[in-house]
Amino acid sequence: MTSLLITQVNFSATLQDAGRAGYLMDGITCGGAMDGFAHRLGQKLVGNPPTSASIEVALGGLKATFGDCANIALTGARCQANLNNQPIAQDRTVTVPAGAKLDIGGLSLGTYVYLSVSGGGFQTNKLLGSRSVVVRDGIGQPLTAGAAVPYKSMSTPLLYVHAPPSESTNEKPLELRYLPGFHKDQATTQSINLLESGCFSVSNRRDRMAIAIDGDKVETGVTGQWSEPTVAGAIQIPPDGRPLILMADRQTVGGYPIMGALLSPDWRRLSQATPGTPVVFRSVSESQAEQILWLERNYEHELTLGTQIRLPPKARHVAHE
Amino acid sequence: MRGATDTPPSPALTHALLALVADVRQELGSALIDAAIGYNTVLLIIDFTKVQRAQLLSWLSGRELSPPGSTPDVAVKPDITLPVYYHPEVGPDLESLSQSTGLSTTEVIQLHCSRCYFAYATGFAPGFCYLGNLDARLQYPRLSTPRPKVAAGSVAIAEQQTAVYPRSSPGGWHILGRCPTPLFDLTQEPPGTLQIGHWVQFTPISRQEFLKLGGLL
Repeated sequence: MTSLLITQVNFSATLQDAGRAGYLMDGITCGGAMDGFAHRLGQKLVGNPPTSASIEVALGGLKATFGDCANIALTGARCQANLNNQPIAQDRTVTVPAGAKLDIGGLSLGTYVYLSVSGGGFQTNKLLGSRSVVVRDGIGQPLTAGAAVPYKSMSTPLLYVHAPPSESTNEKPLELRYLPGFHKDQATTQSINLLESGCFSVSNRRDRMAIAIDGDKVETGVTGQWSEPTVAGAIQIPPDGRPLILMADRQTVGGYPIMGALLSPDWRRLSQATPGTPVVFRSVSESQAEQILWLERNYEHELTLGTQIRLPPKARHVAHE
Repeated sequence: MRGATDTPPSPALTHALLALVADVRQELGSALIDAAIGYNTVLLIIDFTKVQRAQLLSWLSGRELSPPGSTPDVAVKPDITLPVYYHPEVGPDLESLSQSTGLSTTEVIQLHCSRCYFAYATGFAPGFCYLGNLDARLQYPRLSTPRPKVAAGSVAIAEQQTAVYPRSSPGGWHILGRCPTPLFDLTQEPPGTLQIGHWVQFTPISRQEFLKLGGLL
């Protein structure tokens, strides 16, 4: 076992994996990568299962030194990244020599970058079955300068590339398809019309718990209800009428009316959207939702198809290019 | 997938919801990713690549929501008794509550300890358990301005509910005292001492006992 020594974090960086399941009734949130798709692509590029842990860097800005050789991949938000002062590409495997210095700079598109490492991912201790850190609840710690994150070194270069995801989060506006339900039956027709026709954009009040939506106020007319469990992507309407979309570290129960829940592909696109991005809400039926999710799974499957090429030692220079 | 009922919250309803979750877990196995219950709702997080929606709906519609056996709405005896050091030193709202209610602090403490509370729901923070219902004389709205920091172990009340803050956090409830018993440990399974469906009673202890039990001032 070796480790990645963190030397600088500009904003926030945490270990994340596929999240923590089975503890909602203990009040423990799911956590996990905000953009699960980008996290899974990264793990695939370095030959790991999707349950492995990556480092999620919010808003860019992380410097670190590798204790030993490895293969890494950077997925998610588009960033300026250098390895030993040489620019490296995203969405492909990069072979890293021992002692290499990684510098993830500013972002040009998106919000969360994922750093994945070969050998099964970062090897911090699991808590309740997961390595996902929930800073608010004291489950694990955020990464700061001086932290050493363990991983297993790998001297065999991997070479694996896939097409970068075809979508970009600067499409305008970002369509947020949702499955109505929850309190939509009790909400006024006026509020539903407003949600689907109003002008909205991503607010700068956003974190791993929730993303606020600026724009028209949505008055649901729903009052006096008992607190109930929340779901990822829930469109929650607090008394001020400003919708909140619940994200990976959402609170496990909530008392505000919920108009529906975003479909997972749109939910994770929202996680990458930057403040000011216009959004529109569009409800879909259950069968439409199933179709959309099926297509999305196929898309991800096709993108990650293709065999990893493990090169023999004499051909290693090919991998280094 | 969310299910709701118009039935008002009660211990019997909570037990019926818990029984439903247990049945679904048995039926679906690993296709059930997680489940949670609220006061009168149930949330099932299901892997629909492992089970068909229509099949599950038909199975659910054939199942009645009923508690297993008879579940009394009043406790015969508590499942857990939690010691509490009630004192203004650790309960900053004890005296103001005594003034608003017109009761002495001793009477407030007696009322708070006089009955078993039912654990309806968890949430807000890991291990935070919503217990009810309080004696009507102790029911007051939350503080108009929440405290930025409430000490771990704080025993508090708001509206018809009472709870113990398992760890330090912001909070808007009226704090009466402090419990020395740790209620949450990430390395334990389950991590929370209090579970939905438990009956909980509080018992007053002295400052000396509080410190002896590991309580921190």
